[in-house]
Amino acid sequence: MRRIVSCLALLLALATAGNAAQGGANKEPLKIKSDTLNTDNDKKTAIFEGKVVARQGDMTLYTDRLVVSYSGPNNEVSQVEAFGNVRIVQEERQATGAHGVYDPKLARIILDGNPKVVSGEDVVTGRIITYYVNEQKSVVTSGPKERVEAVIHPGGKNAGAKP
Amino acid sequence: MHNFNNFKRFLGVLAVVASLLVVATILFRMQQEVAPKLSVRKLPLQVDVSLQKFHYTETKQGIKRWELTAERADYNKQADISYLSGVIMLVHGAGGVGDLQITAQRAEYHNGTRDVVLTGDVRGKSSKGYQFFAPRVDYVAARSLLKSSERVRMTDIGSELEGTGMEYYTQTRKFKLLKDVSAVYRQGGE
Repeated sequence: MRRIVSCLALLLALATAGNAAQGGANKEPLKIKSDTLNTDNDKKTAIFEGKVVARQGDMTLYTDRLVVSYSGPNNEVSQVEAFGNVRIVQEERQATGAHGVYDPKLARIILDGNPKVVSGEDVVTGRIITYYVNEQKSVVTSGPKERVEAVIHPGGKNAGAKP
Repeated sequence: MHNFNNFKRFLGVLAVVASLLVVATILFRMQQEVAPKLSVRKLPLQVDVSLQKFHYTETKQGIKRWELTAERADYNKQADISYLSGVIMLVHGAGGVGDLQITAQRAEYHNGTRDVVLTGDVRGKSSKGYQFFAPRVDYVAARSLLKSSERVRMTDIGSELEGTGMEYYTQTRKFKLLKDVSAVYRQGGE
């Protein structure tokens, strides 16, 4: 039972059904601003550092350091990894953590390092939060010694749009 | 008697005409010696040697590192600098990184350090497909480094990068944009 509890994944719908129709945000161009950029054409990586702001569609990611990996003949972005003070904002929702990995093809962000999803007054924390950008939903996974915590305000102004 | 006088007059006129011809010939030759025609264009000040279709190759341990071609090169011996126009710099890549061709309107080639200062619509194009654009780029030969303090734009398949200040290591093809960076990645490589 403890194992089951430790592997508990809490699936929380983040938006109304209409939000699912917003799929395709990952087809939008990824626009990044930063202080500096280091690129390595051998490794096919670009490292953005200093007040990094990355935007794709209606999602904005803030972090200290962002590593963009690209591959294939068209240099498609295969992975975006954020390090330090990661904050992802999409409409009224905000996800934070110390580290995050964004897979544009799957339109999925995996956040760790004390991750938290906040929507209005509602808060969910866990060991790992997987955030599905197009569906605007998140899966929160507990750790072996920590459980998922959720603070939901059913009567709040954001009722119906849980984190 | 009358005929004899006519003959004397004829000889006098002939002597005067011959003298005039001699004087005219001397004057004409003197004129030619004073102002000979210029067959070579005058060099600008501070230029000791001017070359058309300049080509220079830098090698290291028998391997070509880079080549510099220019429509014209004016060499100033005192400054030990060659001023180039219509410039093409070809940087040969090591380890399969491909060649990089840089064109510029003008360049200064410093003979002592072998550094090159490229100015005026500087464009770099790699055999791998990416390009960069800047108003001025300096090549530091000792570090195989292209650097610029100006606004630099780089394009590749599916991406556009822009920043102020660039460091581009030609042997490894790693580059840095030093401040105010903006980048756009288009999915699908459009």
